[in-house]
Amino acid sequence: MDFSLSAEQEERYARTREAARALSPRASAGTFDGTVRKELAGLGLLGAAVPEECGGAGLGALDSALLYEAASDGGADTGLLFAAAAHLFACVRPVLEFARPATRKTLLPALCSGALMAGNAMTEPEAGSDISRLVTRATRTDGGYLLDGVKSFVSNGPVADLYVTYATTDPDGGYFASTAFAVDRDSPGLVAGEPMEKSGLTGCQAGEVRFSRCFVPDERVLGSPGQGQLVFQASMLWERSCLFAIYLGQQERVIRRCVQHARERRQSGKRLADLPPVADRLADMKLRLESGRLLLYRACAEIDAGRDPALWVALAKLAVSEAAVTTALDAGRIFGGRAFLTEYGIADEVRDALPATTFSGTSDIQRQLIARELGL
Amino acid sequence: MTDLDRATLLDQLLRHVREELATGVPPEQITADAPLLEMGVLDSVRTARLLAHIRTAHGVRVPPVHMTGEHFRTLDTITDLILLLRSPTASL
Repeated sequence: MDFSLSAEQEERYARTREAARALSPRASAGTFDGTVRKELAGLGLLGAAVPEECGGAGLGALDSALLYEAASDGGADTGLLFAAAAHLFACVRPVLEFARPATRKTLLPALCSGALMAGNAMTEPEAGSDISRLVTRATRTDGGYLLDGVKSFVSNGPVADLYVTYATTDPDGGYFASTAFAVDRDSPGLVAGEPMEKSGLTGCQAGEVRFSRCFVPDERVLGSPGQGQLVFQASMLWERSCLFAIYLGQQERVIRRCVQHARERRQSGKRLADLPPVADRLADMKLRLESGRLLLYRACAEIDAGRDPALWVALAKLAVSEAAVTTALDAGRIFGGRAFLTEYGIADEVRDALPATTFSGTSDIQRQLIARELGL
Repeated sequence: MTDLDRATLLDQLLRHVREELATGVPPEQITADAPLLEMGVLDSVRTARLLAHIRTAHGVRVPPVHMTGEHFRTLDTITDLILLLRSPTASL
């Protein structure tokens, strides 16, 4: 068992971390214009886990996760990386895995280059992210479906050109009740709402998307009718592993800052680093980071090996998201009063970490998934 | 695969769904041809658990192309699916 990265992985990590430092300030402001898209695509973030012949970088799950970790480690805005990851793992991957060949050929190169940005339109005001209880309906019509319903918390919603969405097609279909669709923003009957005012992950715009007798042709069905659950679960395996590498990079960055602060800051003639509670706290922060990292890399390795990754993905998502929140709060304790000053950015780290235990399935849901894998 | 083998497999699946999946449906109503999806027996959680059982107890991983309502309509159709996927000529 070798835990080291290859020379190629090390080199890509270092290059991406360095390039992330040079991202334009617009990239942190939730502006998803052509410049920002080009920068993200240039880093390989929009098409990392897509084969080269489809316009992507041809990376597997582990290398895609490393790319996001490196960009986050280098200081790229957490919300911006979240936006890119939602695009790639919740939208582009389902198109790659489940769209018809002609649709893949049309969409994938544009999605990987940033010519098209995608939004993940899954969550609903009433159903949350429970795909078995979707209120949005897709009614069969000539040559396709008519969508009716409202999606909320759509990542990239206000700026996306394409939405991957899910609707009930057979209310009595149990596990096979829903179907996945890739819908163009300019489809008649689709209205994208204004950006929500969020307290964290502000680099990713989110909003409502409304469908009113919105026609979606058959060629935009992802998978077969009734396979919505399958498409969603497949995308979640990627999102819950690779996207959360962003939070490994964030913790790496936060711990580095805390170590520097503890070594430089003196209180009552002593360095903070010489105070046992501070050193102990930093040791715990490092333990959480490395534990989560091992689990996340393992989850990605299981995906890359074609084995069932469900247990490892749930363990990784739970560990990394909880670690991100605790470590951001610990950073606040180490920085003391300075944590409340905007210029130190610690409050931003806390606000960006907090949603991690909620989106992509809450920590409680991950525990349920783990229990299921234990045969409970 | 003989008819007896098929009957044994179906019986094992019946027992698993009746006794392990906590469906809330009286066991006598869960029969070989009962419509599992319409009855609400196979929701997302129980389908995932059944898939895990098929994988661990019967050594069969159901590929996405076979994850359809048609194959999971009844325990009869699920049995046929497992037999199909077990056969050496199964197209995965």
